[in-house]
Amino acid sequence: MRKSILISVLIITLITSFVFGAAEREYPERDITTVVVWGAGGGTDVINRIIMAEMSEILGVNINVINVTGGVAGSVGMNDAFNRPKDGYVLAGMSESNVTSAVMGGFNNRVDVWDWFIVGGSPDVVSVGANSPYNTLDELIDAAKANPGSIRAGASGAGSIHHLNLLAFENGTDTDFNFIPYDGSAPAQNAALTGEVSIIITSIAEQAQLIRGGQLKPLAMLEPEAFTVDGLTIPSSFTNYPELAQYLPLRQSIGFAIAKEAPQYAKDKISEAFKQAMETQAVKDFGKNNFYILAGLYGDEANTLMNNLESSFAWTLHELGSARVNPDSLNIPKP
Amino acid sequence: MVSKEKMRQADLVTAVVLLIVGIAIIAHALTMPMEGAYGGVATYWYVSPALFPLIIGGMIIILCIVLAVNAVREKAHSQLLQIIKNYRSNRNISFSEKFKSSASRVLIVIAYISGFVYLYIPRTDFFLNVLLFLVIFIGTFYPDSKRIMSIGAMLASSFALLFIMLIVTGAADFLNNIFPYSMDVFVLIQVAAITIIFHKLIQQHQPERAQKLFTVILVTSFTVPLVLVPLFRYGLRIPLPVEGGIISIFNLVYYLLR
Amino acid sequence: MNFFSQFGIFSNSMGAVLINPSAMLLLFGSVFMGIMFGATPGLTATLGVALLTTLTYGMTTNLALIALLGVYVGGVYGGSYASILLNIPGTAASAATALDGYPLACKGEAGKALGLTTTSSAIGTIIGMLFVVGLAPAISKIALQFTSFEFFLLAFFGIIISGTLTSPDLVYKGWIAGFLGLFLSVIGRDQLQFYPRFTFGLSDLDGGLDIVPVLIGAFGIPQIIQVIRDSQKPQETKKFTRILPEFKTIIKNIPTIIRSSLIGVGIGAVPGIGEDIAGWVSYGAAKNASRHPERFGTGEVEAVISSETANNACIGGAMIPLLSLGVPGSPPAAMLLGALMLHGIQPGPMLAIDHPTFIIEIAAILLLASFAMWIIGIMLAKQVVNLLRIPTSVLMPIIAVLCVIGSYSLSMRIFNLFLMVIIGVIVFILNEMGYPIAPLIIGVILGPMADQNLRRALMVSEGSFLPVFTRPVALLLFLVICLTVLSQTKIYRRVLRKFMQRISKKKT
Repeated sequence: MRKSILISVLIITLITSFVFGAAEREYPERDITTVVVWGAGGGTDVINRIIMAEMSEILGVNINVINVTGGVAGSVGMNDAFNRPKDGYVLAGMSESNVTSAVMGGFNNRVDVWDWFIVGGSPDVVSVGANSPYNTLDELIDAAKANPGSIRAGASGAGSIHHLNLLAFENGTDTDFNFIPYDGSAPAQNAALTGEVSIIITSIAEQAQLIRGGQLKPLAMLEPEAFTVDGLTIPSSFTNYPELAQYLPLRQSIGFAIAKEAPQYAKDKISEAFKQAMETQAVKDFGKNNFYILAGLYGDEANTLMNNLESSFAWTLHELGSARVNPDSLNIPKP
Repeated sequence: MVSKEKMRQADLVTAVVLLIVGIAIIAHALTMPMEGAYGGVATYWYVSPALFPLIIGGMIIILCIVLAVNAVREKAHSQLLQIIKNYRSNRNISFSEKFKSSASRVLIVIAYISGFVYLYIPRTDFFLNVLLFLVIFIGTFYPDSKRIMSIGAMLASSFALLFIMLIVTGAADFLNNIFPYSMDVFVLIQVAAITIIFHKLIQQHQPERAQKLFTVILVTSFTVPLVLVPLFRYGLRIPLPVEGGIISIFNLVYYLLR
Repeated sequence: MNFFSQFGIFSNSMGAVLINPSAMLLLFGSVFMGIMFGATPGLTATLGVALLTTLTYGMTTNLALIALLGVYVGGVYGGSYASILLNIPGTAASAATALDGYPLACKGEAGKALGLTTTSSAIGTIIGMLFVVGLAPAISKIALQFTSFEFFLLAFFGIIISGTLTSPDLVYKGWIAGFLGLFLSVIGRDQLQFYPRFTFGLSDLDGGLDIVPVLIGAFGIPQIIQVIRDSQKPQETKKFTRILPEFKTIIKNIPTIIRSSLIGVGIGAVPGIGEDIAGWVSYGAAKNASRHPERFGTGEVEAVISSETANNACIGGAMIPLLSLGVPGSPPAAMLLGALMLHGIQPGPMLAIDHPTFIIEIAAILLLASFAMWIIGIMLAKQVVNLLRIPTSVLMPIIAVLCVIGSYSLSMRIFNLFLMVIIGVIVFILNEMGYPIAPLIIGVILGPMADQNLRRALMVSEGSFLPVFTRPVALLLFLVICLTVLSQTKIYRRVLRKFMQRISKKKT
């Protein structure tokens, strides 16, 4: 009895392995898995969950969103997604910060092993607490020039997009702030509310509620254009400090990617679904309500953007001395 | 709970071991950047990544010294020395039967869990691994017989050794290249072999309870993975560590049914 | 909005759920799922909320909220099952419950313990809910007084207090365990400068140690080893004929319940710390306030009530900064924030203007969820104690498999399994030597908070410790820490005794 079970199990195993070997069927025929490399509830996670929900309706299969976090710049999740079968059924939910993973020693490849799909991002803004003495960007810059290195500036940890924005801001305005790193934008903003730091640089999406509630005073956008939140227009910092244009804008790029080696028919289908999903009302409303600027980039456009971001991040980190791998050894071009 | 005297002796030992850990922590922390700039942050002593490890190392050292002093005050060191002396002069010191049996149980449990996690999970089908682990674990301890326990442990370790040999010699990779699920088949053979041997053993040593014991072992070992694997794989949608032959069959059935 | 119109909305939204059968089904289903998640080591309330976020995407906001809050409430409560029955906390939140819950189970009173935790969890959730409605703005203002110094002191306090409370032997050993836990938390890239500490070049260690595998390793593996070694068996549970818990015991413990609820709400409201800490602090407070502190750890009913009330009250607390500031008060609340954003609701200061009835609706759902939890809990408790009838040599390997899949499933790394076993064996040895496990875990949980905030605080003050004495909250925390440490020394006890003698002399 037991032997016959054993034999039948063996036979089934054999058959399945053959069945699996021979197949190019209609894509997608089973569920797709999206590995989000950042934590549940964060910006990348939320954006991926919403775009995947729309795409799954278009493609007619489930898309499972899972979070695989940890490592440097999300390296654990990136490696996990990259090491799965490159059959087009695995996507990686990522953001601009992941481009540093290679130079930080977490990921052995450059960003060009992926094909990117960029949903969008939220622009960065310089803000102060509601009780701050500074009311305009000029007042802040004057104060910073009078006492270099004394004004405390909060942003998320070294090498994050907001930290790079702070560095660019310092370079473009010829000022020097005392950078206090936090492990995320939310704690940094809290610190601005309690007065632990004087200014903060985070994205407008993250600050919107506090700005609308009057707890934060936005001074200037780190973007060429002004931005309007609930009728309040935030001027661009470029107006009074045109030199900033050399260093900025550095904007978030949140989206997902598929391994470049995945079959072309899968990538075509995903691209088509992505294009349609970006047009849905749900995604548009999400962007509008949460102050994201939707990009909807894919193909060459998206890949070029990520390549550029990679070189600017990698070389900045190298200059700061926190890169573990020399960008040259990865053949990352200088910006 | 052990006697207070014994506890003080143990304290002395752990205090010394942890003292070394504390010193190692401090030694390693001292190699970290203390001042200068790192990662875009101007580094003073109070920003240094070494600050916190230094505090931790320091506190561990202080507390261990307190612990050791306390133990010495209660004469733990002389008792310890006495034990060592006794051991030296009288090599064939006999541990109590009870201690021996509980020590071997501890070792077997640790070995089973380690083998399951380090050896099998990263390499072969998760379903089969769970099945194998449960058959061996329950089979070893449930019949409550010393003889079965030691034979079970020996069996498991010899199979594990064989598996290690296959991996080290490269045979595992070679076979997997010929047929992708070779190692899964290997685990399946283990399950079958161990089940048969346990069946024989139980009939020999516990004839009156044999039927019940064997049913419990088999039913639990099969039900648990049969429930857990689909639940996690399809219910919670968590991809399992290694999805080999059996889980491929699950997938096939799942997508056929849907 | 006056009280009556608020109450009107409250009862309306409750009524809307009660008369809608599919909503009720969803409520009970998600609470049940939450309890199962909580009771399984490794599956946490956070994972439950994350999973339901995707599944409820297509539902209306109201239905989605019912599912999400249901799973949250159930998940925090469900952890007590494994704590009491197996001495392996299902979630970090119920680690403190195991201290007295398991001894109770060993005495054959598992049913009683489960009944009590069910009722006290429900009461805790409801009290937390009341605070959400009543005091959200005021509490979030106080929570905002916490700057880096306070966070550091709070973390430090957590380690010292848990070391003091849980040490079965000498109190130093509890502290040593706490510092060992802190050391484990240091491993990985530090979050301020990304400098790799104690990683020895292993990229798997770069991200630091995940808490869940450490928790499971530290509690699960030693428990499995010990039970198999002694072939021990918790006593057959006494038949408990009454399904309802003993209301007498509950009424007797009303002060404990109220104190624990307040602690839970307060800790939940502080961003960044959550249910796990709430259980510990409340346990400590109950021990200090008790007339028989020596009975704690041997199966004291009060202890179980205190930790379980607090961790459920924490849910309400964590909602306060989430709703009023958009800052989540605990990890599951962070996931909840993401879920709300998916449904087009941005919690924060503007919530009261954008969605004026939203907070009341949340409160109504929380109340319903706690009722659902209570009903399911009382029914389940009777069934779950049957687990103890399974022979340990069959149950323990199954638990081992659950530990493995639990450690793996949160971040899906095989490395975490390797870690779990190593930690498990080390902790087993330490435990045999009379070191408590709990402070080690608290150390791992609080370590990053203590480390980052200490350094950040010194960065802000430019190396000065003066703010500890000039900031009121910081000073208070500092004094409490000093007192806790001093109370363990002989000098303090001697002084206290003399002081007491003098007082009693004066009286006579």
